[in-house]
Amino acid sequence: MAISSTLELRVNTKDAQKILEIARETGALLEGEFTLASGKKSNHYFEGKRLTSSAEGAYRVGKVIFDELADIDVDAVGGLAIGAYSIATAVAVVSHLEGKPIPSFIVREEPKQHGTRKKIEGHIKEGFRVVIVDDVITTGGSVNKAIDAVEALNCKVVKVIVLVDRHEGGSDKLKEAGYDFSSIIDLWPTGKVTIGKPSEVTREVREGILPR
Amino acid sequence: MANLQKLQEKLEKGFYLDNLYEMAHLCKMLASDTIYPAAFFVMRDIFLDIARRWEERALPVEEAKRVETKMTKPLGDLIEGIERNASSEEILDLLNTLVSTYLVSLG
Repeated sequence: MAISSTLELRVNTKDAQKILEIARETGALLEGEFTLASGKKSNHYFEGKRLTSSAEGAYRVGKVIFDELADIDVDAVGGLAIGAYSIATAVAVVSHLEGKPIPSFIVREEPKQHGTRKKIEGHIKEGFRVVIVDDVITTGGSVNKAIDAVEALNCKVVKVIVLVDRHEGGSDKLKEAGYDFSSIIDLWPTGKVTIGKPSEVTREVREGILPR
Repeated sequence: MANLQKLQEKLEKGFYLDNLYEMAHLCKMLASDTIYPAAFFVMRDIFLDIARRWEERALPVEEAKRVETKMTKPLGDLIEGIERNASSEEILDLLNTLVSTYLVSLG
C-alpha cells in the first residue's frame, strides 16, 4: 500500500517561541561549548527541569502539549522519571483547566525494590492510548524505555512529544518505527536552534491502517 | 587482566560523564581481583566524585578538558605501575601523587 498523506501537525510556533524565550531566561537553555554525558561536544546545554520548574514555563509547556493533543484520543500522558515528571504533571493540570482531563503517569527507571515493585506509577491501565513525553531526546534511550514499559502493559503509544530534540538519531529511529513524534525546540548539531517542526508520521500508520 | 587494558583504553577516551561511570565500574571489579585493591578503590572514588560534580549541570568543554589534562598522567602512571607489579612503596607514592593532583584540580 502506498503511503499517501502526511499529517501536518505542527507545534504552535508562537507558543514554542515563548517557551524558547523562557528557556533562555531561566537558564534552562545555555549557549557555549559543553561536553555532554556521552562525550560529544555541543553548542547548547538544555536542562528541562529549569524550564518546567518556573511557573510560566510549566504552564506554557503543559498548554502547548495539551494543544498538540486536541485532535487525538488520549487516555493518559507520561514518561520516564525524572525528565518527564513535571512535563506530564503540567499537561494534566492544564487539561483539567481546559475541561478535558488527561491523567498522568510516570515510568520508573528501575522497578520499586519494595512494596508493590511497580514499574509505572499513576493513572494508566491496560489498553490505554498514551502520549509519551520527555525533556530531551538524544539517542532515544529514555523515550524507548518509557515506550517499552507502556507497551508491555498493552497500551498504545499515540504520540511522543519532547521539549528538545538534539537530532542525534533518537527522533529519526522513532519516526522510522512509525511513532508520531514532535518536538518543541530543535537543537541541531550545526548549532542552529529551530522551533515547532511538523510531525512526519503518516495518517495510515497513526490510524492503524499500516503496522508500525 | 583484561579489565586493566579496558581501563587504559577508557582513560584514553577522555573525561565525560558516561565514561567516568564506566571507569568507576571497572575499578570496582578490578579492586576485587588484584594485589592492589586500595589503588583501584581510590581511583573508583575519584571517578565517581568527578562524575557526581558534573552530573545534572552544564559542563563547559574547557572545565572538562582542564580536569582531564591534570588527571590523565597520574592515573596513567598508577595504572602502569600496577601493570608492571611495582612495589607497594612505589604504588603508595603514585597514589599520593594522584590524590594530591586531584585535590588541586578541584580548585
